[in-house]
Amino acid sequence: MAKTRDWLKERTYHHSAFSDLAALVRAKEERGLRISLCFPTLNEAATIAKEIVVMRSELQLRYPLIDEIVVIDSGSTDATREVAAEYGAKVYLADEILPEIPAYKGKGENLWKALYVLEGDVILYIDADIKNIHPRFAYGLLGPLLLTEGVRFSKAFYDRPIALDQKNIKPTGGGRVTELVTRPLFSLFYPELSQFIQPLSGEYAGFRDCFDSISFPIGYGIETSMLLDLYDRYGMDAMAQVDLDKRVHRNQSTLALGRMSFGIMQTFLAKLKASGAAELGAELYDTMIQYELEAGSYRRRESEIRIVERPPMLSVPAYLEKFPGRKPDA
Amino acid sequence: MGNIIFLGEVPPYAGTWLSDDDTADPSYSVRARFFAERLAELGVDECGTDRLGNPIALIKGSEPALAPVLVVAELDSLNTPAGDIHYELRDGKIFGPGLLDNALGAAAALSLPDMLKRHCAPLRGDLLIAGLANTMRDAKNIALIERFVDGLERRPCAAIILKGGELGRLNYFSDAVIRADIVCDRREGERGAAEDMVVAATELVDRFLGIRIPKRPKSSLTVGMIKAGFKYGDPAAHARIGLELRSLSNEVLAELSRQVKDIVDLVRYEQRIDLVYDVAVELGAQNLGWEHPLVRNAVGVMRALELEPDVYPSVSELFYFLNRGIPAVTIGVARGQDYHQETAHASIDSLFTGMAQLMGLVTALDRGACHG
Repeated sequence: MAKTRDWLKERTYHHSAFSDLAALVRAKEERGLRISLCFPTLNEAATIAKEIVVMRSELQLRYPLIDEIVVIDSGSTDATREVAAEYGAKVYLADEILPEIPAYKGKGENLWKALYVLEGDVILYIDADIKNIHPRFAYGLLGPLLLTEGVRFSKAFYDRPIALDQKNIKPTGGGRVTELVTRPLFSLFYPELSQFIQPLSGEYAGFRDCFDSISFPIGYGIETSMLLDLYDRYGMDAMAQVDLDKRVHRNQSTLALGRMSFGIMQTFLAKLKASGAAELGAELYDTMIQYELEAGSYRRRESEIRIVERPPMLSVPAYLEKFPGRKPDA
Repeated sequence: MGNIIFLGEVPPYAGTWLSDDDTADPSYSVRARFFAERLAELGVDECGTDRLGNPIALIKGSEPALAPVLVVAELDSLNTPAGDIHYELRDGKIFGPGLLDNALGAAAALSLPDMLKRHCAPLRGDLLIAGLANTMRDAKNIALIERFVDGLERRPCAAIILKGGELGRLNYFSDAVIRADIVCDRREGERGAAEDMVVAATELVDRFLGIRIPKRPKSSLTVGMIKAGFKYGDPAAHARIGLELRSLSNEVLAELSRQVKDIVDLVRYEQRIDLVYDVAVELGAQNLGWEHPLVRNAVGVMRALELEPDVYPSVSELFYFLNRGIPAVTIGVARGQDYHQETAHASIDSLFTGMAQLMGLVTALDRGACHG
């Protein structure tokens, strides 16, 4: 367990450690890197303008840290795409990227397709529903990648859920799904990964090779799957987590979190099976069954949640054509 | 726009009001600290705080002997919701509590260093950019503005006071004004004493409204606040009335104030209650004059931007500058609605005109409009 404590101490940062934006820009330029920021969206007209303005004014106009801001939209029915374009982002409809491939709907699909249109060597994904957006969401995640040797992927956590001295560790840090589903599963099978305070956070950054070499579930399991794959490929030392303080976003109902938990467990078990770490004696069902109290009786609600997974982008010929420097895995 | 969001989402003040001494601590106002740090980060030549904790930045001009121009904005907000503040951008507008009073004005001041660097020739004279902290927290805190003006190390040749709205406003004269609290308390155990302070307060208000207010010089009496009671079924033991008297004439204001005091005295004896007439603010009328170069230049800039100047009297900061012989005007930077409410919002397009107006006026002053 000594190794576990070391990772937490050595690879956990607070965003304020990277608030010297000029230093980040210098590091980026010295290494000749380009950085892309991607917002996956679906009906985010209420928040996307502010997200773009905040990032653009601070991290493009004032400090040239981010080279492009890109919105990948799942087909919003509100004005998300128009607003985003008006405020200076490049906007793509996910369905129109790689149109020769049948399209799916989901955040994972957007993140995966973003790899084809983003130009950066470093890619930063930030959810578009953050009410208290601040440049720290970007520079906090980019900091470890630019300034710490060996770090290739960084993930956000929030609300100062943990302090690193032994007297002040708080018992919980994640949301309900994290604490009831993901962390128990990690503890059972990949104890080192349980050190991620919020493994399901939607904000992360990494070098392009982190993302184009792994598969992307299009639905709920994307964050879990990503951590498992990166852990497998690079190990803990290549990963970091950053405290971004408070994040304010939409709250989800317990039923919605139930479906999310179903998708995460589905993805996790499939990964376990594929890796040979566990055997399943039967096929898994793909329907989440929930009950809602309605007019004095329980109504059964069934949600079909199937695993649909995009292969590593490196296996897509069009991608290799666009990025000839990238080579498919041996 | 980034500056509006960053500044507007910082609570205007924090901590507990203990005494005047607290205001001397720059850490007392979180927003003041943010304002100072932001100015320093924007690369002004010097940035510090005065003895009250008000941030002041200096952009040096090429002729240091010239008196500086001062751009100043209040940092507080009248509407400060409990909990976090979140601004929104949608439908071509920016929304947020405290936006118009005065996150927008303060953000415009914050944006000046960048805008000047990008769009203007180097300044001849020095430019001071200041934020005023804690001035809206209590009616009596208006005195902090006086202390700020008196504490300025260099006397400015002119001051531009920035408000979030309304774009086109031009205040260069101030009303004489008295803002007073009238505090009513029940006398326990006194025979014949009025029991319900709501009734007593109503009696006072009725009599105040009977005072004859002259139309010339323009004057007014406004009962802006009444607070009393805590339970439906219990007579109120305490009431407080907030009253404002205004006039373009110092003499008329003094006469109105005398009449209010007389009513308070009379009701005190009639109702056998404790009544205190507590003057929170008393300012005299001041007028820079339409012909003053600062006013003429402000009007010229507005007309060049196709803005119709909206001229009316102001109170507060303007008085303190004018009273000390410092030419000053108050201008607004955006068109907004729902002032002082959670839903306060302003048109983003109007902001560009507002910033152009500010830049134009600073440039005109720097070219010598007020250097005599």
